[in-house]
Amino acid sequence: MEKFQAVLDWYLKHHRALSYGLVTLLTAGGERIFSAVVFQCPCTAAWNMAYGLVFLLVPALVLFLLGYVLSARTWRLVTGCCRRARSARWRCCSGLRRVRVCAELTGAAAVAPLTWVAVALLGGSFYECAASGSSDVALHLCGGQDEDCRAQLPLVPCGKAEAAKVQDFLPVLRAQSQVTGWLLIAAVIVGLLICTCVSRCLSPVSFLQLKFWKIYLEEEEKILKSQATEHATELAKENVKCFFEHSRPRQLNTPSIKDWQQISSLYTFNPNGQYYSLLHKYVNRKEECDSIRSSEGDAVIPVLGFVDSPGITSTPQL
Amino acid sequence: MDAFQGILKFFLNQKTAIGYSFMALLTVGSERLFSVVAFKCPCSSENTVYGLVFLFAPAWVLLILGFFLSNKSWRLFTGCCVNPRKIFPRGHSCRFFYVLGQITLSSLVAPVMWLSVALLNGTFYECAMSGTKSSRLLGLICKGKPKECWEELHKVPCGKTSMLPMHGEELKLSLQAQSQILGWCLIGSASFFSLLTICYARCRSKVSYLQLSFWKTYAQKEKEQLENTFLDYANKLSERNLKCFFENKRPDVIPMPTFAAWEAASELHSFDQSQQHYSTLHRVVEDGLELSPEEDETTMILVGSAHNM
Repeated sequence: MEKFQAVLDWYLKHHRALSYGLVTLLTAGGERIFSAVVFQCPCTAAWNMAYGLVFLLVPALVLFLLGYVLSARTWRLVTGCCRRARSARWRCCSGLRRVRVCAELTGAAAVAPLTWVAVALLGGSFYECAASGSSDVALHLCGGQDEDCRAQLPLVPCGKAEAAKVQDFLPVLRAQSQVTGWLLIAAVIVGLLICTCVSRCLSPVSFLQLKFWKIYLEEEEKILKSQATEHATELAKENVKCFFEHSRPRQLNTPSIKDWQQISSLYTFNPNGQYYSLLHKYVNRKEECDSIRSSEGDAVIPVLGFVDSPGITSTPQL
Repeated sequence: MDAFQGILKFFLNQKTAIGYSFMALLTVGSERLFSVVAFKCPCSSENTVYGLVFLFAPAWVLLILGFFLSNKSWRLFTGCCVNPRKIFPRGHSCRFFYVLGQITLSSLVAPVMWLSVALLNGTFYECAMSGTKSSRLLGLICKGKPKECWEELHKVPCGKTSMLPMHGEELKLSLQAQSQILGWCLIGSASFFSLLTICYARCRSKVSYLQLSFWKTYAQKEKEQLENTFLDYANKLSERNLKCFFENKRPDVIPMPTFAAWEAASELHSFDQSQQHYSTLHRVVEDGLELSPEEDETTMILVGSAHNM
């Protein structure tokens, strides 16, 4: 059992990196399945380009949208916003803050589609199909004079070109695709490194404190879930009992709607107070009726984006 | 069962060695995967670009991944724009470059492993060299071969030249041989260079051999203790916060380190022979921080706390 625990501990420590690795593996596996099972290049001049591009780009778009949907931060930003905007009392975060958060969300959501495109380009079949239907590529490969070559190029992905010279363009197209895929991977990873470095550089919080912060958030998430479950069970039991026994329920101290709203907005960092989450900030407010909505010095810090991620239902419990 | 425990304990003690061997296995595995699944020399004028991209792009990706996964690089960069004095302290401006150099050297291990394995395999180099347009290289490769070699060298990896198959095979074998020789030279020189670096670092070490062993053990234990304490305090703090939230109460004070204390503890460690502190935390705790106590719960007075610990 201890051996299993050791493996589990290692997994929990690196779960973020392992999750990214898993996403990459799944994307690669998905691409293999797509190109082996589903993808059949039509090998006509009219349809090759559209078919290849659709297979390359539409799954990327789907993954991009999924990236938004699966991020808890999106829902924190969006939930209740229309009602808040109409009501003069509550002010949403200022326009600039929302734009910054949107930009960060977009950046995070872009990783999966770029992985897909890179893996698909490394595979080669989608690009081969699309490029063989493109007149520009035909012009470049065949030269200006050769009508026959240009007419036969769309047949190349199916291996049905009659002239051996034209069929020999297949490995060239595949090579172009793979080189583009590798360059895309190299560019994306350098971009990721630069963004992470810049956001870490601009961090107002030191390295050890960030580490502690992440651990604190995990604990808070766990305890929030267990306490919320406990409280909800007690409240539900009381309500159902009183319904069946036709009696008045005793008062349970459930947080008010204002309390929940205060802790559900986006986290902003204020150098004047070391608060590790909105809950922490709210519980430590100076006066009972104070709002923690916005005060002097609040700022959205890119490296602290992880503070918005946990929720009650997203605990990785084991 | 006991024997198994013993073996497991042995492996857990050799974490660094196992980590590196695992990395080597992974590199070999992915190189095989690449060769079989993805790499097909196009046998055209684009051979050189194709071969070079397949050789160097994975090495580049591994280098960047090495930077990402190194804890030291994030310790170095976190908060550096906000407080540049932290990484360029007065009188020690070169320390940043020294640490960056250390991080780069340790990240270079995986790319060099990949390059050696890829060169030992031979297909990438063969493809890249067969696409060369340089007359000097062509002259060297095609020496003593029929004149078709000059025009059709790029078709040799696919075996589709108009030369005799014997000549084509010879060219292929000689290119592969060059690749393998290069691969072995790379392995040899990389091993020699890392030995030199380690020897130099050990030579310049300010502490003796046994003290260094103790230092490594201390660092490991401190890391474990730090994580346990983080977990403890995080638990206490989050329990208190959630209890107050659900029961609508005012929170009790839990003493926590200040900003300044966290900053001081996060600095990169440098050994001072007069003080003999084994880590930054050790130094911070023994030197103490002269801070005036605040009423906020987020203060911990460090002066004198070393005596209490």
